[in-house]
Amino acid sequence: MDAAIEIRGVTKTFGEKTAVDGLDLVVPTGSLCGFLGPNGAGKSTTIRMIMSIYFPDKGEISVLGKKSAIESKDRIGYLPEERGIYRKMKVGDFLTYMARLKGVDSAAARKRAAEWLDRVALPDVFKKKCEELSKGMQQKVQIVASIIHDPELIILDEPFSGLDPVNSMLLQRLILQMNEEGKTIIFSTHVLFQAEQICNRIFLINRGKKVLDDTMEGIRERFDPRTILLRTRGQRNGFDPRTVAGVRKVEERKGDLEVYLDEDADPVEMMRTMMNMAELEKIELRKPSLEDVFVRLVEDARISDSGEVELVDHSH
Amino acid sequence: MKVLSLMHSNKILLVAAREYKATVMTKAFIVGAIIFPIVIWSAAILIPTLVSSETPKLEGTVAIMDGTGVVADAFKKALDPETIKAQLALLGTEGAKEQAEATLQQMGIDKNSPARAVAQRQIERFSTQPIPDLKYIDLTPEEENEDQLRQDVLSGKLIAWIHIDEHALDPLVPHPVSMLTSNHMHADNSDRLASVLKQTITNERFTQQGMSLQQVVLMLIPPQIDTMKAKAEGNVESNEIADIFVPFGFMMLLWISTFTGGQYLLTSTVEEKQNKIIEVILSGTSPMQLMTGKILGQGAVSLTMLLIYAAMAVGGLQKFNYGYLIEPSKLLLVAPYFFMAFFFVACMMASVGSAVNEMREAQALMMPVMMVVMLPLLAWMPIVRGPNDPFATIASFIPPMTPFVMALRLGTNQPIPAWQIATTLLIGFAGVFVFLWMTGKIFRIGILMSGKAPNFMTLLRWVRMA
Repeated sequence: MDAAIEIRGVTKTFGEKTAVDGLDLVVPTGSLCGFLGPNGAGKSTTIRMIMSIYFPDKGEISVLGKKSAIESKDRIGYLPEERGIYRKMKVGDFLTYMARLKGVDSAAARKRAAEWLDRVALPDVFKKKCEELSKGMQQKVQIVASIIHDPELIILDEPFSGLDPVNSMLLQRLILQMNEEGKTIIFSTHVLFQAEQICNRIFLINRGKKVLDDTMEGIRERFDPRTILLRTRGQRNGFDPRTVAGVRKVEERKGDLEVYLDEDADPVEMMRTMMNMAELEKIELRKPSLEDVFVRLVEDARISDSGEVELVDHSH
Repeated sequence: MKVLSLMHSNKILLVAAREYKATVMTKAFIVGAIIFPIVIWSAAILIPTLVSSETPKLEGTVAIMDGTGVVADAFKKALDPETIKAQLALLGTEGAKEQAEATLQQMGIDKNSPARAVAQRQIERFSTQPIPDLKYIDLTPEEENEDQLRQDVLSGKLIAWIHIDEHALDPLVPHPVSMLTSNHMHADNSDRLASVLKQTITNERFTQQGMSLQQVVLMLIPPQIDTMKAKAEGNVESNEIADIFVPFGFMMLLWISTFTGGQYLLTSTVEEKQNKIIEVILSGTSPMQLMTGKILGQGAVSLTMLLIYAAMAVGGLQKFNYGYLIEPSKLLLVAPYFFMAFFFVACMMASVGSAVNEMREAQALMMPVMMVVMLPLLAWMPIVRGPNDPFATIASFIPPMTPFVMALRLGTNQPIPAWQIATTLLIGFAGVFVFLWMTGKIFRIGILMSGKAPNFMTLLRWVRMA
């Protein structure tokens, strides 16, 4: 497996505070990774170290096969969390400048700036000053600025924050498109729903340590809640899922029944059995949501407070 | 590796070009720093030229009541077209030029003197004024009817009425002459009538005593004492004004241009931090490239201002015949100190700008270094008076002060030992490198810092930390 980013045993402290603590991380080339974690988990610090804006106290980082991102900045697109704009500069000039800073020649830079503005539905702003744009428009300009040089590795720190639903969708499509073109993309976010929809790999860090690093399928499998959700039509007529072999526990929530299965039970077989037992309005296998995983891992860490998080499947 | 460094220097140049454009291509800069000074300068240069060329011809009738019986005739003769033509003709001759030159030399007015320019302008003015065309009415005391004459002057029948007291030649008589002119008369022309009148009367006073005014004037010129200062290559004339103001001018030019550029650097760094654009730019450059680019860009701004202001200063001095005060060789010697001064100021501004969150906090942080740099500005007089005194000499070896003190010392016409120029350049630029190194460390940490405003000690800690 070819790695776009490799982080080995990286630690970074700011005074007393350890922001990143012995982190190992491998971002495979061509993957679309969500980088999750609660506020202050060390996401931005890690990203800044990948970008060689901060330097680790301990450990090694290699980016695109180089020891430091400085040597391959022109091949990386980076949208920082703290992103601004030259307010007095014209949008076209700003984008051209950013493209040129990353090695695109002058004529091509202007052409690309115009093309990209069209692509993100911002025509007619080329000659406008950045300060004349609305906040949402400025955000789109910033995103374009980070990818205008057609980088092979794209790192986006909280790209969705502050975007309205329409523009969020636009960015989602853009990210998927770029990933299909073969670009490696890693983005941090609080919006787990979005990560769940588009990512094929998830990293979760908490208090500077990695607590989850897996593909989406892996996570779904690993955190499979082994629960069937069902609702009967009308009266239950004596139907009790507890009587079915393999059911561990049943809970009722807002008229729905949550049926927890034993480790060795086959969910599909169980569902068939239950459908034969009663007239059901709905029956589904509950999927693990990233939100559940996130809350569980982060909450557990908070409760145990040992700093060490066990990555075993918690059984209920 | 070569390609890599080329790419990097290209990034630095890109940053520098943007910085320069963003500063210079603004209305505020173009109007405030370029157009306004040029307008003032042009006005100062052009207005005198425009005004003096507009005198109308002095013509009309003058009524004179001459109580002395001798002044009126002399007055008419002095303003007679033939006399003036003869004088003008004489002015053009070599003999007159030599004589004038001899007189000027005797008065201690040498070729480079500003007084020469004044004299030259007066001669020019005299020769370019139209030759007067006057008629006269001689009045007896009985004919002098005040109301009628006033009426005639008002109506324009007379351009002037002159009354000369019979005791006008007695120097002790107060107000011996009165002159009434039309208020339409150009001030230059009434001045001319009055001055010819004064000269005529003074002249007549001496003539009456059997003396020549011209000789008396020459005798009154105090003998010139040559103040010389001994110099290795021969004695050099000293010029008090030049000794004091040229060095001050040198330093002020250095000061204004470097601090203006520095101020822009501070503002743009703080703005970039406030607008949170820093990290966006850092996605394409390293902090060092960004810093170097910004410093070079604002250095170009400083240089632009220095060139404009220096050209204006030199041009202005040339125009008013002070051009000789500035030797081109000195300008060349001051040039490296300009770059040194700029880098010192720029380092200070870049460090402070990167560390603070807003302009308000910058002032406090700059105080310690500013005090050192301000010293030459406050102590310019003693440095200029004694450019080779221990004070000036020692101060020029203390880095942030070096370029400012040296600009002052080089501005004076006292020779500065060559070894001192060489060593101050060496120490100064070594200082620049230390400053740049420290600034690089502070900048790298500072630009991504926010929150509490750091103090001077924090900055030093950052230098040790990174």
